[in-house]
Amino acid sequence: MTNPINIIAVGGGKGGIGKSVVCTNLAAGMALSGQKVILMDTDFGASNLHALLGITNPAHGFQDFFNAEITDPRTLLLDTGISNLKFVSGAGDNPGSANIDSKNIATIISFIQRLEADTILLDLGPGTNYNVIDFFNISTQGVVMTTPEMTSIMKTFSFIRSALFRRISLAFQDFPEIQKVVDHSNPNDADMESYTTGLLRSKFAEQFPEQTDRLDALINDFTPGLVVNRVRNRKDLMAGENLLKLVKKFLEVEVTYLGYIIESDRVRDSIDEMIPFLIKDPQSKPSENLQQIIGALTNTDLQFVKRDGRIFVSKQVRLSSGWEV
Amino acid sequence: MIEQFLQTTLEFFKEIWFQLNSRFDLENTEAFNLLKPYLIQLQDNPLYMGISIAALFLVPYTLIKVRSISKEREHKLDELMEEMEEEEEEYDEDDPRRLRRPESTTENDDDDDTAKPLFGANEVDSSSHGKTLDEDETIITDEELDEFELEPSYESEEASNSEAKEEPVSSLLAESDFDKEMNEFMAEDLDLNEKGEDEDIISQLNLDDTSHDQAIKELQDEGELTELEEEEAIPENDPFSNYSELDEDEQDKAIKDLQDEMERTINQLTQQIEEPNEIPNSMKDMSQIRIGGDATIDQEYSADEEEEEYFLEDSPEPDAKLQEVSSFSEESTPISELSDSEILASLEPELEAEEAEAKSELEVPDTHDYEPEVTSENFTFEPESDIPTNEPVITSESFTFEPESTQSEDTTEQSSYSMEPEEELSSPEKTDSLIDRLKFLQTRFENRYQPLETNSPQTPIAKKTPDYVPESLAEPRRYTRSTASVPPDSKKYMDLLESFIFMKDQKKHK
Repeated sequence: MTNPINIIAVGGGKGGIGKSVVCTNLAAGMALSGQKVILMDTDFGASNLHALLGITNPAHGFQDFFNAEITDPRTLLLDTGISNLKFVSGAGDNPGSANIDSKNIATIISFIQRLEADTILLDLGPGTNYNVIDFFNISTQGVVMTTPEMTSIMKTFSFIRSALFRRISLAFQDFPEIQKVVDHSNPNDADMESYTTGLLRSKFAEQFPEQTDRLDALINDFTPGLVVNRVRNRKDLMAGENLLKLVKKFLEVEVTYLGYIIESDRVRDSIDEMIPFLIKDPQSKPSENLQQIIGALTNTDLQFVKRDGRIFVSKQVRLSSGWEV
Repeated sequence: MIEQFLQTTLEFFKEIWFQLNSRFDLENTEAFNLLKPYLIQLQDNPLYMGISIAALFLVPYTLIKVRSISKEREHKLDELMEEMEEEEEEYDEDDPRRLRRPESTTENDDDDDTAKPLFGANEVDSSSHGKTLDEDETIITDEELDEFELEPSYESEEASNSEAKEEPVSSLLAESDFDKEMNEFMAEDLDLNEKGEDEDIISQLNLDDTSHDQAIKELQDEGELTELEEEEAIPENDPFSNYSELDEDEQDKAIKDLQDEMERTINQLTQQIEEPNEIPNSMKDMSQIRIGGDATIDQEYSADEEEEEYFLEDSPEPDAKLQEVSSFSEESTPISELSDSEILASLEPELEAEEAEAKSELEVPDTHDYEPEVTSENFTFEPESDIPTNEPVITSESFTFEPESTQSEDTTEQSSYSMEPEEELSSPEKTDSLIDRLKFLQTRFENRYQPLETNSPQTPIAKKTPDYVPESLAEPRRYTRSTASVPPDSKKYMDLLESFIFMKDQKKHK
């Protein structure tokens, strides 16, 4: 029996909150800790992960997903220079290529699910359209990111709600009446009154009582993690807590707080230098923050040390969570 | 390692800040809001941060260090004093090695405790040291005074003798004695002056060259100022006051006049520079005053006869004085006398008239320059009894001040832009005044399109430009702030978030 692939999708409603940077560093950290990791850029139409990794003129990119000539998906995996880390680029996206249809989305999803790796990390694009949300929903561990600004909090809330409602919608694809309640993509044909899980539950209780258990299971299974990026002070951390409260109150979803990353020039410098900050300076504060997040995602305690240009990783597996189960 | 330490420190400070902020809500205070942009800048720029941290630690450290150093020194001084006192106690009263005399010790016996405060000890000691110093000083000053040998100062000698005989009391007393001697010495000088042997000599003796020159320079500056003010006050005669309104010919003429004036000033300046500076300033001034006074009265202005007579009568007197002065400065007087005699000999009435005409045509300021000296002479000799001549400052003031008043009147009459008192000045001052004049003329030329008043610092030139503010741009726009910023830990923040997420009609969730 092989372990199922751990797919981690990093998303968030707002653009520019550091999804790609964090995703790259998570991938690098996990790869350095010994996992076979594939990092995938699913921000079609505006891909940039290859730039963060310093990969110039990638040999394969987004368009190759739909190329019939490529039969072996392994050819799409690019070397990153980091041991255990492969990369699937989204480069080669032409204008308008973000608007791929559901069929092509399904092709990509199937491609992802066929990949052989311990962990696949998906860097999602901004927004809450289905092309983004569907990738988020195929993940075994969704990570939503936010920054402390109120606008970012709002968008992340919307992202979580969209992801949840999309998940429910996909789960009840065969129930058009339910679709009207949960899918608001067509307002003329939708029941717009159920915009929170509480209202949805009551609607289900009224109209589809036999499906309430399934609905509850879907809601309960939806446990994204939250990372607050660019934190400067405790007030900023509080913004993350407010998001958790908000999601709990209106969506009844338990969001796992994975950690935060402080605002630092080191992060920006690492982008300019095209080296993940975890590798460039593993003992810096943002790197420590990131190690904690990786630890929370993988149930391990990681510690990265850089000496004479070489990185040493100490890894301790947390057993407590296993016994609890 | 260092980085970890820094990060730990940063965390520590953050924790402190969080605690303070959560308790006192510092972030919502006005002071913090004021400081916030600067703090963010500090945070962003490591250089600023480094500087501020350095300042934060270095300044108090420096203060503490300075205080500790001074305290240490005080302590050392105390110890030294105590040691000295102990040593002195070992000596006999008549021991010459003993620094303090029996009187002083007996005087200070009441206060002379070991547990005496620091300053008390210092006072006693400084007095004992100061005493010897003062003795030396008095001897030196006596010697210095003797060098002058104006008159043997018996009293001062007596005083010094008596001091030598008497035991020194304290530095203060010694100082007062010294002052007393000086006063007596000055009083003797005053007596001499009152006896009326020679006022000018005494005043010249009391005046050293530098003070004299400085006084003249100051007054010259004053004169310049008043002159400029007057020039500004008569814009109708000034072509540059409304230069832009003049015709081209008038403008050309005005510029030409100004250029001529500048040329003249430059010529004077070059002449002044080429002229050998042989006579000491003060002596030369005195001689020039007399010469100038005579020449101007006779030649150009034909002042009152009484004055003429007066000067003619009194003219030998200054010569006599000069001779007396020559005993102090033998080198300078012959030149001044020579110049006197030369000029007096060459000034024949016909030639004088011609020269005067030529001068009046070419050099307006030159003819003007002699004029004030008449009054200065007049003033110096007339009020002998009224003005205490032993006060050099007063004589010097009166010496130059009066001429300027008449001079300014003349400037208004002639509407010329000359700086009159050049002739009565010594050559460096003359040069300075000429340079100033040149500068002034240049400024005038450069700013010819704007009246002088606009150049004054009180009224900026920009004021002349019309203040046109487009009303459409300056119109205030409405901005009403519906919500104030709310701290994220408050319920209001959550309500605000909700209000942003849900629409107005979406109230079913509540």
